[in-house]
Amino acid sequence: MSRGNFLVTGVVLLLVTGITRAQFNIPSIPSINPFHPSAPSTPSAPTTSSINDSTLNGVVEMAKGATGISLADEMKIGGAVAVDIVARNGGLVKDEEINHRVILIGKSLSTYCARPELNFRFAVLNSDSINAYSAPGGYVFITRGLYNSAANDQELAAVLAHEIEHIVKRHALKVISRGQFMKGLFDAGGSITNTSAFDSGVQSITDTLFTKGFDPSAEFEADKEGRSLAAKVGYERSALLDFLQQLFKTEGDSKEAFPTHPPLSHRIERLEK
Amino acid sequence: MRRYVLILGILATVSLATAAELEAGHSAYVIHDGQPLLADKDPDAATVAKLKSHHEYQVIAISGKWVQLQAGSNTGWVYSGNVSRDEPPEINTSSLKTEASATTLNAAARGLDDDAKGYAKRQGNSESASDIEWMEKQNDAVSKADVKAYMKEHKLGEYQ
Repeated sequence: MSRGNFLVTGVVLLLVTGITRAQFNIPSIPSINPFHPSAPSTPSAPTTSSINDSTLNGVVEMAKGATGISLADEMKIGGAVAVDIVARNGGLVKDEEINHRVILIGKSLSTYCARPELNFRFAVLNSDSINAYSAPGGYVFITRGLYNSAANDQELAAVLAHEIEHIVKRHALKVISRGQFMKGLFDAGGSITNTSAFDSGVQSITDTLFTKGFDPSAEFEADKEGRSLAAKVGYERSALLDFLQQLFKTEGDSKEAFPTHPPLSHRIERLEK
Repeated sequence: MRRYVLILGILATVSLATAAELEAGHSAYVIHDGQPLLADKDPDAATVAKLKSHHEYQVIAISGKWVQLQAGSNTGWVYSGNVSRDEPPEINTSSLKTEASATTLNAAARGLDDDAKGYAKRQGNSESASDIEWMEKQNDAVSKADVKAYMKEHKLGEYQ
Protein backbone atom coordinates (compact mmCIF):
# COMPACT_ATOMS: atom_id res chain seq x y z
CA MET A 1 0.00 0.00 0.00
CA SER A 2 1.39 3.42 -0.93
CA ARG A 3 1.87 6.02 1.76
CA GLY A 4 -0.97 8.11 0.27
CA ASN A 5 -3.39 5.20 0.28
CA PHE A 6 -2.36 4.32 3.81
CA LEU A 7 -3.09 7.86 5.01
CA VAL A 8 -6.50 7.95 3.30
CA THR A 9 -7.36 4.55 4.77
CA GLY A 10 -6.35 5.88 8.17
CA VAL A 11 -8.63 8.90 7.82
CA VAL A 12 -11.54 6.70 6.70
CA LEU A 13 -11.06 4.34 9.63
CA LEU A 14 -10.78 7.24 12.05
CA LEU A 15 -14.13 8.45 10.74
CA VAL A 16 -15.57 4.96 11.29
CA THR A 17 -14.30 4.99 14.86
CA GLY A 18 -15.65 8.48 15.45
CA ILE A 19 -19.05 7.66 14.01
CA THR A 20 -19.25 4.43 15.98
CA ARG A 21 -18.47 6.19 19.24
CA ALA A 22 -20.87 9.02 18.53
CA GLN A 23 -23.75 6.85 17.38
CA PHE A 24 -23.66 4.63 20.39
CA ASN A 25 -22.79 7.41 22.81
CA ILE A 26 -19.60 5.74 23.95
CA PRO A 27 -17.80 8.52 25.79
CA SER A 28 -14.13 9.13 25.45
CA ILE A 29 -11.90 7.17 27.75
CA PRO A 30 -11.17 9.18 30.93
CA SER A 31 -7.78 10.83 30.71
CA ILE A 32 -6.69 9.56 34.13
CA ASN A 33 -6.25 5.92 34.90
CA PRO A 34 -5.39 5.51 38.57
CA PHE A 35 -3.81 2.15 37.94
CA HIS A 36 -1.63 3.51 35.16
CA PRO A 37 -0.99 7.14 36.10
CA SER A 38 1.71 7.45 33.50
CA ALA A 39 -0.51 6.22 30.68
CA PRO A 40 -0.99 8.91 28.06
CA SER A 41 -4.39 10.58 28.06
CA THR A 42 -4.50 10.55 24.28
CA PRO A 43 -3.49 7.44 22.40
CA SER A 44 -0.48 7.83 20.15
CA ALA A 45 -1.02 7.92 16.40
CA PRO A 46 -2.58 4.55 15.63
CA THR A 47 -1.62 2.17 12.91
CA THR A 48 -4.22 0.86 10.50
CA SER A 49 -4.52 -2.39 12.38
CA SER A 50 -4.78 -0.69 15.77
CA ILE A 51 -7.58 1.53 14.47
CA ASN A 52 -9.39 -1.58 13.28
CA ASP A 53 -8.86 -3.09 16.71
CA SER A 54 -10.18 0.00 18.45
CA THR A 55 -13.30 -0.02 16.28
CA LEU A 56 -13.86 -3.68 17.04
CA ASN A 57 -13.13 -3.11 20.72
CA GLY A 58 -15.65 -0.28 20.73
CA VAL A 59 -18.36 -2.63 19.52
CA VAL A 60 -17.34 -5.37 21.97
CA GLU A 61 -17.20 -2.77 24.74
CA MET A 62 -20.70 -1.64 23.90
CA ALA A 63 -22.00 -5.20 23.96
CA LYS A 64 -20.52 -5.73 27.43
CA GLY A 65 -21.99 -2.54 28.79
CA ALA A 66 -18.82 -0.60 27.99
CA THR A 67 -16.88 -1.67 31.09
CA GLY A 68 -17.32 -5.43 31.30
CA ILE A 69 -18.18 -4.98 34.99
CA SER A 70 -21.26 -7.00 35.89
CA LEU A 71 -24.36 -5.56 37.48
CA ALA A 72 -23.62 -7.31 40.78
CA ASP A 73 -20.07 -5.96 40.87
CA GLU A 74 -21.35 -2.51 39.97
CA MET A 75 -23.68 -2.67 43.00
CA LYS A 76 -20.75 -3.50 45.31
CA ILE A 77 -18.54 -0.75 43.94
CA GLY A 78 -21.39 1.77 43.82
CA GLY A 79 -22.48 1.03 47.38
CA ALA A 80 -18.95 1.61 48.65
CA VAL A 81 -18.57 4.83 46.63
CA ALA A 82 -21.95 6.03 47.99
CA VAL A 83 -20.69 5.43 51.55
CA ASP A 84 -17.68 7.67 50.85
CA ILE A 85 -19.86 10.38 49.26
CA VAL A 86 -22.08 10.49 52.36
CA ALA A 87 -19.08 10.39 54.74
CA ARG A 88 -17.38 13.31 53.00
CA ASN A 89 -20.51 15.49 52.93
CA GLY A 90 -21.70 15.48 56.51
CA GLY A 91 -24.25 12.69 56.21
CA LEU A 92 -27.77 12.98 54.83
CA VAL A 93 -30.54 15.51 55.33
CA LYS A 94 -33.14 13.32 57.03
CA ASP A 95 -36.13 15.48 56.23
CA GLU A 96 -38.77 13.19 54.76
CA GLU A 97 -40.61 15.96 52.88
CA ILE A 98 -37.44 17.14 51.13
CA ASN A 99 -36.42 13.59 50.31
CA HIS A 100 -39.90 12.68 49.06
CA ARG A 101 -39.84 15.58 46.60
CA VAL A 102 -36.37 14.69 45.30
CA ILE A 103 -37.19 10.98 45.04
CA LEU A 104 -40.40 11.59 43.04
CA ILE A 105 -38.60 13.84 40.57
CA GLY A 106 -35.66 11.43 40.34
CA LYS A 107 -37.78 8.33 39.82
CA SER A 108 -39.86 10.08 37.15
CA LEU A 109 -36.62 10.66 35.26
CA SER A 110 -35.08 7.24 35.83
CA THR A 111 -38.26 5.55 34.54
CA TYR A 112 -37.25 6.64 31.05
CA CYS A 113 -33.46 6.33 31.25
CA ALA A 114 -31.47 3.84 29.19
CA ARG A 115 -30.66 1.53 32.14
CA PRO A 116 -34.06 0.45 33.49
CA GLU A 117 -32.46 -2.57 35.18
CA LEU A 118 -31.11 -0.27 37.89
CA ASN A 119 -33.05 0.73 40.96
CA PHE A 120 -32.17 4.43 41.20
CA ARG A 121 -32.06 5.98 44.66
CA PHE A 122 -31.94 9.67 45.53
CA ALA A 123 -30.95 11.63 48.64
CA VAL A 124 -29.84 15.06 49.85
CA LEU A 125 -26.39 15.50 51.44
CA ASN A 126 -26.03 17.66 54.52
CA SER A 127 -23.61 20.11 52.93
CA ASP A 128 -23.88 23.83 52.16
CA SER A 129 -21.80 23.49 49.01
CA ILE A 130 -23.56 23.50 45.65
CA ASN A 131 -22.79 20.13 44.16
CA ALA A 132 -24.20 16.79 43.04
CA TYR A 133 -22.73 13.29 42.87
CA SER A 134 -23.58 9.90 41.54
CA ALA A 135 -22.23 6.45 42.27
CA PRO A 136 -22.40 3.32 40.11
CA GLY A 137 -25.44 1.12 40.61
CA GLY A 138 -27.94 4.01 40.76
CA TYR A 139 -27.05 6.22 43.75
CA VAL A 140 -27.73 9.93 43.12
CA PHE A 141 -27.04 12.74 45.59
CA ILE A 142 -27.51 16.49 45.61
CA THR A 143 -26.27 18.74 48.38
CA ARG A 144 -28.54 20.83 50.62
CA GLY A 145 -26.87 23.91 49.10
CA LEU A 146 -27.91 22.83 45.63
CA TYR A 147 -31.42 21.89 46.78
CA ASN A 148 -31.86 25.39 48.19
CA SER A 149 -30.37 27.04 45.07
CA ALA A 150 -32.73 25.35 42.62
CA ALA A 151 -35.65 27.64 41.84
CA ASN A 152 -38.16 24.87 41.11
CA ASP A 153 -38.75 21.20 40.22
CA GLN A 154 -37.55 21.88 36.69
CA GLU A 155 -34.07 22.85 37.87
CA LEU A 156 -33.85 19.99 40.35
CA ALA A 157 -34.84 17.61 37.54
CA ALA A 158 -32.15 19.06 35.31
CA VAL A 159 -29.41 18.35 37.87
CA LEU A 160 -30.74 14.89 38.76
CA ALA A 161 -30.94 13.98 35.07
CA HIS A 162 -27.27 14.99 34.64
CA GLU A 163 -26.27 12.65 37.48
CA ILE A 164 -28.47 9.82 36.17
CA GLU A 165 -26.67 10.06 32.83
CA HIS A 166 -23.27 9.71 34.54
CA ILE A 167 -24.54 6.35 35.83
CA VAL A 168 -26.17 5.36 32.54
CA LYS A 169 -22.93 6.06 30.68
CA ARG A 170 -20.89 4.32 33.42
CA HIS A 171 -18.51 7.26 33.68
CA ALA A 172 -17.30 6.37 37.18
CA LEU A 173 -16.75 2.71 36.31
CA LYS A 174 -14.59 3.72 33.39
CA VAL A 175 -12.18 5.33 35.85
CA ILE A 176 -11.11 1.87 36.91
CA SER A 177 -9.60 -0.68 34.64
CA ARG A 178 -11.43 -3.96 34.69
CA GLY A 179 -8.23 -5.83 33.85
CA GLN A 180 -6.45 -4.46 36.91
CA PHE A 181 -9.34 -4.04 39.27
CA MET A 182 -11.46 -7.12 38.69
CA LYS A 183 -8.86 -9.82 38.11
CA GLY A 184 -9.00 -12.29 40.97
CA LEU A 185 -11.01 -9.86 43.07
CA PHE A 186 -14.16 -11.94 43.39
CA ASP A 187 -14.60 -15.66 44.01
CA ALA A 188 -17.02 -17.84 42.04
CA GLY A 189 -19.84 -16.86 44.38
CA GLY A 190 -19.25 -13.17 43.72
CA SER A 191 -17.67 -12.38 47.11
CA ILE A 192 -14.58 -10.20 47.42
CA THR A 193 -11.35 -12.10 47.99
CA ASN A 194 -8.93 -9.16 47.93
CA THR A 195 -10.28 -6.33 50.08
CA SER A 196 -7.27 -4.05 49.69
CA ALA A 197 -7.58 -4.15 45.88
CA PHE A 198 -11.31 -3.48 46.16
CA ASP A 199 -10.77 -0.57 48.57
CA SER A 200 -8.09 0.88 46.32
CA GLY A 201 -10.38 0.70 43.27
CA VAL A 202 -13.23 2.37 45.14
CA GLN A 203 -10.92 5.11 46.36
CA SER A 204 -9.71 5.77 42.83
CA ILE A 205 -13.32 6.55 41.92
CA THR A 206 -13.93 8.75 44.95
CA ASP A 207 -10.62 10.49 44.30
CA THR A 208 -11.91 11.32 40.82
CA LEU A 209 -15.28 12.47 42.19
CA PHE A 210 -13.81 14.70 44.92
CA THR A 211 -10.48 15.86 43.54
CA LYS A 212 -9.88 15.50 39.83
CA GLY A 213 -13.41 15.33 38.49
CA PHE A 214 -14.46 13.40 35.41
CA ASP A 215 -12.98 14.14 32.05
CA PRO A 216 -14.69 17.35 30.77
CA SER A 217 -16.08 15.37 27.82
CA ALA A 218 -17.93 13.12 30.29
CA GLU A 219 -19.43 16.19 32.00
CA PHE A 220 -20.50 17.75 28.72
CA GLU A 221 -22.02 14.44 27.67
CA ALA A 222 -23.95 14.21 30.96
CA ASP A 223 -25.19 17.79 30.42
CA LYS A 224 -26.38 17.00 26.91
CA GLU A 225 -27.91 13.60 27.62
CA GLY A 226 -29.39 14.77 30.91
CA ARG A 227 -31.10 17.66 29.18
CA SER A 228 -32.55 15.22 26.62
CA LEU A 229 -33.76 12.88 29.36
CA ALA A 230 -35.42 15.72 31.29
CA ALA A 231 -37.11 16.97 28.12
CA LYS A 232 -38.26 13.45 27.23
CA VAL A 233 -39.98 13.19 30.60
CA GLY A 234 -41.64 16.56 30.13
CA TYR A 235 -39.43 18.92 32.14
CA GLU A 236 -38.28 22.13 30.52
CA ARG A 237 -35.36 21.60 28.18
CA SER A 238 -33.88 24.95 29.16
CA ALA A 239 -33.89 24.26 32.92
CA LEU A 240 -30.25 23.14 33.18
CA LEU A 241 -29.06 26.16 31.23
CA ASP A 242 -31.27 28.45 33.35
CA PHE A 243 -29.87 26.96 36.55
CA LEU A 244 -26.23 27.21 35.47
CA GLN A 245 -26.71 30.77 34.19
CA GLN A 246 -28.27 31.80 37.50
CA LEU A 247 -25.35 30.22 39.40
CA PHE A 248 -22.86 31.92 37.11
CA LYS A 249 -24.38 35.31 37.99
CA THR A 250 -23.53 34.80 41.66
CA GLU A 251 -20.53 32.47 41.55
CA GLY A 252 -18.87 33.15 38.19
CA ASP A 253 -16.21 30.54 37.43
CA SER A 254 -14.99 30.64 41.03
CA LYS A 255 -15.44 26.87 41.49
CA GLU A 256 -17.65 27.47 44.52
CA ALA A 257 -20.41 25.67 42.65
CA PHE A 258 -19.66 22.26 41.12
CA PRO A 259 -15.94 22.53 42.01
CA THR A 260 -14.85 19.40 40.16
CA HIS A 261 -16.90 20.11 37.04
CA PRO A 262 -15.72 22.16 34.06
CA PRO A 263 -16.12 25.94 34.60
CA LEU A 264 -19.75 27.06 34.54
CA SER A 265 -19.05 29.35 31.57
CA HIS A 266 -17.82 26.36 29.51
CA ARG A 267 -20.90 24.30 30.35
CA ILE A 268 -23.19 27.24 29.56
CA GLU A 269 -21.44 27.84 26.26
CA ARG A 270 -21.92 24.18 25.25
CA LEU A 271 -25.59 24.17 26.23
CA GLU A 272 -26.25 27.40 24.32
CA LYS A 273 -24.99 25.87 21.05
CA MET B 1 -9.81 7.39 -4.99
CA ARG B 2 -13.33 6.35 -6.10
CA ARG B 3 -13.07 3.49 -3.64
CA TYR B 4 -12.67 5.93 -0.73
CA VAL B 5 -15.52 8.14 -1.95
CA LEU B 6 -17.67 4.99 -2.01
CA ILE B 7 -16.57 4.01 1.51
CA LEU B 8 -17.33 7.51 2.78
CA GLY B 9 -20.72 7.38 1.07
CA ILE B 10 -21.56 4.08 2.74
CA LEU B 11 -20.43 5.43 6.10
CA ALA B 12 -22.51 8.57 5.70
CA THR B 13 -25.56 6.45 4.84
CA VAL B 14 -24.99 4.19 7.85
CA SER B 15 -24.51 7.25 10.04
CA LEU B 16 -27.71 8.90 8.86
CA ALA B 17 -29.72 5.69 9.19
CA THR B 18 -28.50 5.09 12.74
CA ALA B 19 -29.01 8.66 13.84
CA ALA B 20 -32.51 8.85 12.42
CA GLU B 21 -35.46 9.34 14.71
CA LEU B 22 -38.18 6.77 15.10
CA GLU B 23 -39.99 6.48 11.81
CA ALA B 24 -42.91 4.50 10.41
CA GLY B 25 -41.71 1.46 8.51
CA HIS B 26 -38.50 1.18 10.54
CA SER B 27 -37.78 -1.15 13.43
CA ALA B 28 -37.55 -0.21 17.10
CA TYR B 29 -37.00 -1.68 20.56
CA VAL B 30 -38.69 -1.07 23.90
CA ILE B 31 -36.42 -0.23 26.87
CA HIS B 32 -38.37 -2.18 29.50
CA ASP B 33 -38.83 -5.95 29.37
CA GLY B 34 -42.57 -6.62 29.70
CA GLN B 35 -43.49 -3.18 28.32
CA PRO B 36 -47.30 -3.12 27.85
CA LEU B 37 -48.49 -2.63 24.28
CA LEU B 38 -51.61 -0.51 24.75
CA ALA B 39 -54.84 -0.55 22.80
CA ASP B 40 -54.85 3.23 22.58
CA LYS B 41 -52.62 6.30 23.03
CA ASP B 42 -53.50 6.44 26.68
CA PRO B 43 -51.43 5.11 29.60
CA ASP B 44 -54.62 3.76 31.16
CA ALA B 45 -55.72 1.91 27.99
CA ALA B 46 -56.02 -1.90 27.97
CA THR B 47 -52.86 -3.94 27.44
CA VAL B 48 -53.00 -6.00 24.24
CA ALA B 49 -49.57 -7.65 24.62
CA LYS B 50 -46.36 -7.53 26.68
CA LEU B 51 -43.22 -6.66 24.73
CA LYS B 52 -39.66 -7.92 25.11
CA SER B 53 -36.74 -5.51 25.46
CA HIS B 54 -34.35 -7.21 23.01
CA HIS B 55 -36.92 -7.93 20.33
CA GLU B 56 -37.21 -5.88 17.17
CA TYR B 57 -40.66 -4.45 16.44
CA GLN B 58 -41.99 -2.72 13.37
CA VAL B 59 -43.07 0.91 13.73
CA ILE B 60 -46.48 1.29 12.10
CA ALA B 61 -47.13 4.94 12.84
CA ILE B 62 -46.13 7.85 15.05
CA SER B 63 -48.70 10.15 16.58
CA GLY B 64 -47.36 12.95 18.76
CA LYS B 65 -45.41 11.31 21.59
CA TRP B 66 -46.85 7.86 20.91
CA VAL B 67 -45.51 5.10 18.70
CA GLN B 68 -47.68 2.40 17.14
CA LEU B 69 -45.89 -0.95 17.04
CA GLN B 70 -46.64 -4.30 15.44
CA ALA B 71 -46.01 -7.29 17.70
CA GLY B 72 -46.93 -10.49 15.91
CA SER B 73 -50.63 -10.29 15.21
CA ASN B 74 -51.09 -7.45 17.71
CA THR B 75 -50.89 -3.76 17.01
CA GLY B 76 -50.81 -1.19 19.77
CA TRP B 77 -49.27 1.95 21.23
CA VAL B 78 -46.25 2.69 23.41
CA TYR B 79 -45.14 6.08 24.78
CA SER B 80 -42.09 7.22 22.77
CA GLY B 81 -39.98 7.58 25.93
CA ASN B 82 -40.14 3.81 26.26
CA VAL B 83 -39.09 3.13 22.67
CA SER B 84 -35.60 3.26 21.23
CA ARG B 85 -34.31 3.05 17.71
CA ASP B 86 -31.27 1.16 19.06
CA GLU B 87 -31.29 -2.16 20.86
CA PRO B 88 -30.67 -1.70 24.61
CA PRO B 89 -27.25 -3.01 25.73
CA GLU B 90 -27.14 -6.50 27.17
CA ILE B 91 -26.96 -6.59 30.95
CA ASN B 92 -23.86 -8.32 32.26
CA THR B 93 -25.30 -10.55 34.99
CA SER B 94 -22.19 -12.63 35.63
CA SER B 95 -21.28 -13.15 39.29
CA LEU B 96 -24.78 -12.33 40.50
CA LYS B 97 -25.39 -14.36 43.61
CA THR B 98 -27.93 -17.18 43.33
CA GLU B 99 -30.71 -15.57 45.30
CA ALA B 100 -30.55 -12.44 43.20
CA SER B 101 -30.15 -13.99 39.80
CA ALA B 102 -33.85 -14.54 39.17
CA THR B 103 -34.29 -11.01 37.91
CA THR B 104 -31.79 -8.27 37.42
CA LEU B 105 -34.20 -5.80 38.96
CA ASN B 106 -34.23 -7.83 42.17
CA ALA B 107 -30.45 -7.83 42.08
CA ALA B 108 -30.40 -4.08 41.80
CA ALA B 109 -32.97 -3.60 44.55
CA ARG B 110 -31.57 -5.54 47.45
CA GLY B 111 -30.16 -2.62 49.43
CA LEU B 112 -26.60 -1.76 50.35
CA ASP B 113 -24.37 -4.65 49.34
CA ASP B 114 -22.64 -6.61 52.13
CA ASP B 115 -19.24 -5.94 50.56
CA ALA B 116 -20.01 -2.22 50.53
CA LYS B 117 -20.92 -2.50 54.23
CA GLY B 118 -17.59 -4.24 54.80
CA TYR B 119 -15.81 -1.41 52.99
CA ALA B 120 -17.59 1.15 55.21
CA LYS B 121 -16.49 -0.73 58.32
CA ARG B 122 -12.87 -0.92 57.18
CA GLN B 123 -12.90 2.84 56.50
CA GLY B 124 -14.53 3.63 59.85
CA ASN B 125 -17.67 4.86 58.05
CA SER B 126 -20.32 2.55 59.46
CA GLU B 127 -22.48 5.58 60.28
CA SER B 128 -22.51 6.51 56.58
CA ALA B 129 -23.49 2.94 55.72
CA SER B 130 -26.45 3.37 58.09
CA ASP B 131 -27.32 6.61 56.29
CA ILE B 132 -27.33 4.75 52.97
CA GLU B 133 -29.67 2.16 54.44
CA TRP B 134 -31.96 5.00 55.57
CA MET B 135 -31.78 6.33 52.00
CA GLU B 136 -32.72 2.90 50.64
CA LYS B 137 -35.76 2.76 52.92
CA GLN B 138 -36.91 6.26 51.94
CA ASN B 139 -36.66 5.34 48.27
CA ASP B 140 -38.33 1.95 48.70
CA ALA B 141 -41.21 3.70 50.47
CA VAL B 142 -41.99 5.58 47.26
CA SER B 143 -43.89 3.04 45.20
CA LYS B 144 -44.38 2.87 41.44
CA ALA B 145 -47.97 3.95 42.08
CA ASP B 146 -46.71 7.06 43.91
CA VAL B 147 -44.46 7.93 40.97
CA LYS B 148 -47.32 7.32 38.54
CA ALA B 149 -49.62 9.59 40.56
CA TYR B 150 -46.92 12.29 40.68
CA MET B 151 -46.41 12.06 36.93
CA LYS B 152 -50.15 12.23 36.31
CA GLU B 153 -50.49 15.29 38.53
CA HIS B 154 -47.57 17.08 36.87
CA LYS B 155 -48.34 15.84 33.34
CA LEU B 156 -45.02 14.08 32.89
CA GLY B 157 -43.89 11.14 30.77
CA GLU B 158 -46.79 9.31 29.15
CA TYR B 159 -49.24 11.57 31.00
CA GLN B 160 -48.20 14.68 29.04
